[in-house]
Amino acid sequence: MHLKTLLWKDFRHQTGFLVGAIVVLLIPYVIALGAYIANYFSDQRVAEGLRFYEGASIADVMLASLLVAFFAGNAIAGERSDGSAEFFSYLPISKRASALSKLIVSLGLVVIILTFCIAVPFMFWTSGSASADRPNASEARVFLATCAAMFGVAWCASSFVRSATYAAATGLCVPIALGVTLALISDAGFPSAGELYWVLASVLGVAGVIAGTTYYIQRVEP
Amino acid sequence: MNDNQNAIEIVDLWKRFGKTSAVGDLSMRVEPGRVVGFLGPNGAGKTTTIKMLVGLLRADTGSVSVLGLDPFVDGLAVRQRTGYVPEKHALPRWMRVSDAISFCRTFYPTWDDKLCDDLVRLFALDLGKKVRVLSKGTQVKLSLLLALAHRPELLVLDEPMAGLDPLVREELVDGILQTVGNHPRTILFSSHTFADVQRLADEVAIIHEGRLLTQCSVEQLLTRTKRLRAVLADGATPDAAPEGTIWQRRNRREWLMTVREFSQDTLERVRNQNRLENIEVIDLSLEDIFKDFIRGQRSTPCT
Amino acid sequence: MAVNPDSHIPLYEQIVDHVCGLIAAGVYRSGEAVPSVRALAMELHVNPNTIQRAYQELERNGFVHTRKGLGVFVAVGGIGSAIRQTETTIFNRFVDGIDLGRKTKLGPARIETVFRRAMRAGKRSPGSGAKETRK
Repeated sequence: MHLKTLLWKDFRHQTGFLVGAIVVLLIPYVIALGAYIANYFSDQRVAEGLRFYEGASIADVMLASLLVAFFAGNAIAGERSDGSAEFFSYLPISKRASALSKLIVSLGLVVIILTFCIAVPFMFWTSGSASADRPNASEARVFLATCAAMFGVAWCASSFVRSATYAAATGLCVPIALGVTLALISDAGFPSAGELYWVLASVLGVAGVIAGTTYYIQRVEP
Repeated sequence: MNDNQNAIEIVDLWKRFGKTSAVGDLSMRVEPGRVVGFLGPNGAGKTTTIKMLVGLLRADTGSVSVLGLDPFVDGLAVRQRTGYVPEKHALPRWMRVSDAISFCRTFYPTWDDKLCDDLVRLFALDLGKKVRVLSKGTQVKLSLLLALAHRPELLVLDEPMAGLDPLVREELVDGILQTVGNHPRTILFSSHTFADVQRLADEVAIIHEGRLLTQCSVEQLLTRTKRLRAVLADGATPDAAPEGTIWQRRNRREWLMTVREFSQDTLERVRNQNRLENIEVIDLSLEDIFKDFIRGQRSTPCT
Repeated sequence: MAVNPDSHIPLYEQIVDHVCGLIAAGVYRSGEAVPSVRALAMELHVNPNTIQRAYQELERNGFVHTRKGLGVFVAVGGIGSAIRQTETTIFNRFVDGIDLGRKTKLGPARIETVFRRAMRAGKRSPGSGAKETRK
């Protein structure tokens, strides 16, 4: 199946986005450092300086969920926009192997980044020094379902369009639209609608991956 | 694939984009071991046909057979045995030359390392350089190397020499010639550079508006297609042009016609059926013949 | 040597003429090997099939003969045939020149004067040096 070579290629293809992701994730910590230093020299010093880093780590978790859409969106569409998709299309590479490799790489990167990002605030929560409470099961469900939906929708869009950013934008907007709609419906008098969110978002995610993969495999045009 | 099978066989092929048919009622065959120059004006359907041969486009109706296989159904097998160099070489810009070679190598069981090294030397490729810093000519050379190094049975080139300087063109011609006769056994290439077609091709196939006008050996075309320049006598009107005329033009008393399968009989017939002051036979180059074919189609379509 | 791919003369014919000329000039002696098909193909940047075609024609006309596995050699009597063939080439070039003269109504006497002048110039300076520039 030559999977190793494909994995190398797809990883190298995502390298640019990976570097960008790391930079984005560092920004909250840079801001936190600045706040920490300002706090240190200010008159109204806050005792717990670590609060700033805790805040940054939670910001990172939010950012990571958005980055999910970019990795998924770049996986297929990114090769079309830089032209290399056409090159790979006339090599004897099976579409199935190609799809699998892309899925492994983008999903793998997403899982690794999310794990790292969740690990930091997790340390705060378990050490007992956290000011915010650990999220409950419901909040965790909503968060993970949102990540899944962003990945799935961006992946599906990526298989159809020729621009990585378009695909990523779709991956961001659809779950947000879903969440907002359900929240409004919930406010309007159907509180159970809010509960539905994590189910629908998860289904959206899984369906997106299946639909996108199926379409990509049968599509002739690179 | 047995030796009797045609390398390429196209029968009644149609491909439409919207309302226009890029390829219409095209039938042609390429025998194994031949080098065929695929000629036609821009938009004649060369690229569309070539894309259908390597399975990048699906035909609307008709059949395409490459090395005995359907390139759409058995795309993988066709691409393993075919080398393809498209017009736009979309090599991944982040890859180095050595990366591209080791990447492609994985997918071809017939990859020949020694031939690959020979071609790297012949094309003077710098293995460490990234694709994005390579000149256009060097990118083409790399594309050609990747298409040749796995010893394909069929090589398909879509205007490989477009926009290249004469020195690079010669290097590419040499690269192709080094492998001709063994692997690839059969070559189909489209080109606008008639000098290259003359150097490489055994046969030419001329295509216009998606249809095949003629397919025959270069030698036959050059030796048997002649232009006649007749000067009509005062007040005379020309009779019908002889059979096999692909193009004609009359400007007052000067009557030019290009005739296929020219013979002394043709000359006699024209002389006898018209009142002429004089008539002479002009030899034509491949480019002249091509232009006359196309001009003839544009003035009197479907002859 | 180079072939002219833009000419109306098929490449194989150009190669036949060229090799024939070399044999007639004594560059390849009787029994000597001429360049192999592949070597000539690479030198002239031409399809080996075309060279093969040219060599077949040369063999048919008795200039060369192929020894299987060993190569292509100048045939016995090949030099004589080549010289006669060169005579034909020269004849055809003369025909072209005379035809031009007739078209411009120079007249046979004047054409012959021009011919003699060319013969003398050719003796003094061989090659393109003998040619006259346009006045």
